[in-house]
Amino acid sequence: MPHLETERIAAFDHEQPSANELAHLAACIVCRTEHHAFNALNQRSMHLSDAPPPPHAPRLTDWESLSTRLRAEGLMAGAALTEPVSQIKESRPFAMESWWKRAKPRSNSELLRAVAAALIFAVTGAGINQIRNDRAASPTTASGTSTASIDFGLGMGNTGFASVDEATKALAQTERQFDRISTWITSNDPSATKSDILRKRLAALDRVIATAYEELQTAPQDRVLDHYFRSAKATRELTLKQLGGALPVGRSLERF
Amino acid sequence: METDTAIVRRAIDGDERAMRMLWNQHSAHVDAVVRRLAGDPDLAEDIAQEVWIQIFRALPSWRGDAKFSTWVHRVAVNRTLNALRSTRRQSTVETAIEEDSAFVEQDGERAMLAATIDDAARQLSPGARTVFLLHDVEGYTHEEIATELGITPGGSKSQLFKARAKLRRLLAPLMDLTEAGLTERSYAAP
Repeated sequence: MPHLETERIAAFDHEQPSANELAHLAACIVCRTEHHAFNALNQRSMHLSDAPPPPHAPRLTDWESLSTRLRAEGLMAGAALTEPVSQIKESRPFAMESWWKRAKPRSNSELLRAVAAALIFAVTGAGINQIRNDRAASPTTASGTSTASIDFGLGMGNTGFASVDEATKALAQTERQFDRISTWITSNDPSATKSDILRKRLAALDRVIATAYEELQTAPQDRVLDHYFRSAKATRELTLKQLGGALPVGRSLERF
Repeated sequence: METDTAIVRRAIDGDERAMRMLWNQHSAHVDAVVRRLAGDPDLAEDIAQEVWIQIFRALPSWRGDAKFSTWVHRVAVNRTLNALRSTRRQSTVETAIEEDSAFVEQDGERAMLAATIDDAARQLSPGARTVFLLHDVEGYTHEEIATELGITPGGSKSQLFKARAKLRRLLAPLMDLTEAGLTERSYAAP
């Protein structure tokens, strides 16, 4: 009797051998050995995914280029780290985490409203007046105490910056946080897929941008205004993209 | 020692140190998964970064009900399959396996003898390799494979058996030597 087909033996773990095939396996050492070999192959294959990777295989990714991508996509906050990977053993949450956690609203919509409120407050309301008043009272601004006194209502008071530079760095960090959160919200908030909500958001952002722009005409050196102007513009771009995606197929965005 | 949950929570918040720790801990395994599925080293390099971007994007979806390493593994497999699909390497999966299972000259096949299953799998056509790796290594069902690759479950089975048969031929000397060493059983090729 001819030997069993190799592919047929390879299928025995899926399909039971027939009576004739079983009889052949019992009588034929060659086919029986093949059967054992396939069982062994299956066992080895099953454990392949748990096998440790080769010790000297070069990495397919490098952290520098990966982190650049992650920043560009808004997934990573802060400036690039400088210490080697081997020294990274424990966590050091970035500076704004504690106040942010305290202020973190429960839902995406609340979160968006809180962030938007802080933005609008800072640019159009008491925030600007506070800055101006403090600057007038302390024209040198070297001590930085004026910026330290600003409280956005999110538990940021008493941060005690030592200098304007330090405060500006903290502001930049907050902005990145803001950008990241905005990106996340625009990507994940199911309510934000409705075009009327997006239009309202765009209108609000336009008012913020217009106000900040107007103020920047008289205070072009103001980094706070400049930061918020750019943040609002970036968020506007994101929202515009999302609004474009929310439109019915075949329709393009001309105005909102 | 900080738990996976704590590190992941910080990574979701954009903490670079946490993200780098995750990458550092799991990149060797992710690399192995991508290399195995992609087959081609250059392609694997292209895919690996996309896999990591996807892992970090999807971090909030990890609920902690599975081990983080298991979740990373699954994301790596899925993202690699997506990447392979987008490069259209899977589009010829049915054809490829037919070509792959056609007659192979005995001398040519001997020249391709493999030292490991990974080596041998790399000598399969992309379609056959993917089916074999997904079923026998990753534990996918034929229905899942059919969905992933756009083929029928029957087609997946057929390709698997052909892939196994070729692997068996490629690995015969190694396996038979091992078997002989363990059991002192003689073997004659069919």
